[in-house]
Amino acid sequence: MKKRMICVCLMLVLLSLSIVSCGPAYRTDVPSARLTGDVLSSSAPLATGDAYREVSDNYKNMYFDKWNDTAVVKEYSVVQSESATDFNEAGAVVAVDEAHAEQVRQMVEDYLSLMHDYYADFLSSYNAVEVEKIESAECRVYGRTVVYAFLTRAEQKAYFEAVESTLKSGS
Amino acid sequence: MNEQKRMGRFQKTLILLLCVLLLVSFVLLIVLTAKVRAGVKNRPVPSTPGSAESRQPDDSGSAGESGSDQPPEETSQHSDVALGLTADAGSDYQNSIVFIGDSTTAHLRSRGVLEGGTDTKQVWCPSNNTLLLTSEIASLKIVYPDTGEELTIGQAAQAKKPAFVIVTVGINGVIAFSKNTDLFENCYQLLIDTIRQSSPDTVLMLQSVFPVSAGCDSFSVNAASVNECIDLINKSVRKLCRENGLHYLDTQSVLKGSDNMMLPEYDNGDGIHLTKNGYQVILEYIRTHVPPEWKN
Repeated sequence: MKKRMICVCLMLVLLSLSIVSCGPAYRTDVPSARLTGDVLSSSAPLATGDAYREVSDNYKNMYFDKWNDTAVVKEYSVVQSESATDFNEAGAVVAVDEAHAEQVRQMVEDYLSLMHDYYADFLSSYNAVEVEKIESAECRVYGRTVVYAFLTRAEQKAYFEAVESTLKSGS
Repeated sequence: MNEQKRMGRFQKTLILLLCVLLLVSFVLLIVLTAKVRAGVKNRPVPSTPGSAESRQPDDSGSAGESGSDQPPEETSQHSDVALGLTADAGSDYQNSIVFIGDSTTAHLRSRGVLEGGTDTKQVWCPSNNTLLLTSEIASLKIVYPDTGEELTIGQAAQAKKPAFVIVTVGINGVIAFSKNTDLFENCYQLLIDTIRQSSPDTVLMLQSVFPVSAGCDSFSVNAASVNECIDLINKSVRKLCRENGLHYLDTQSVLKGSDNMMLPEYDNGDGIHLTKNGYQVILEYIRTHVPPEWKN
């Protein structure tokens, strides 16, 4: 009886560890355009009359040439504010699988670094209010999806929470 | 005997369970380590443009970019694209030029040094008097001074068909461009293509980016580093001239001293833009470095 109890206890411990080690699973069926569409608009809405629009093919070819590698990136969406006065931007890049997520994350980090170099000094002279969005830009990984944003800190927090909620398994 | 067999089986089971437990713990450790690495990451603090110094120059051999000890005229004559010293072509030539660029070009208007003074029709800049060279340069709108409406550069060039155009861009975003000269050249090429497609007969000249003064604090790096970045992208401007058969105006050579900084007497106070006298020096350089297409 004692031996059976020990076995049962050990099995329970193993079972618990297995459950813990799994961690949160993220959906892989959410298109990037949804994350940069209604998910973004609801957490970081623009001023009335403005909208987010997908960046041009020219822009993608200029800044995202590595993102067009279909061996690494399944698909992506990047939107910017139409307004000439605010710097809001967000992007979602879906890797072909989780094994490539780290590579995608690095590509996104490189883009954030470039944009910082590009705009930080310029914005501080001509649109200082927007500098916060450059300085606080982050990217986060949710399974095989890498998401970044140029938003105020408060909007960015709300956006990432909304993304995680959208991508969590079962939600 | 049976008791011993039961004990032996129990021990084997226990050992098996312990092995499984160790395996699961090991897997858990790997998963947790991976999650920590792939978790929230802040964007790395941008580095100073030390990397710009490691880029190999690809210039044709002109020595004129960084605080050269040679007189600018000799430097220009040794370059295959830089316009050489000529006789002063006078106001007729100067008045036939359209200037396209960022705030360093917009100040030509505010300083009143061109025909028409502060109402000159020769300066094409966006309404906010600045310009950041990006991949969207072809759709960027400038204020077309002849009518006051906002047009793209291509639309304006098609309407005006200017005889001569001088483009000066690159100071905005200079740090990024110095680390990504391909990006700078690709964006600039879009601008060149836009102008040439809209007005094929226009003689297009690319002007060097002006140096900043020692007191410039508008960038995240010091003035010396900014000027190193400027020198680097001016090499790209020369390269674009070579590749496109355009003329290069090495104006920066008359604006700076041996310390590679803008001369203090030309600094209007912010370290980037020039005094009226500084712009007059630039215009004198332009009038005395005339392309062969100008036939008076």
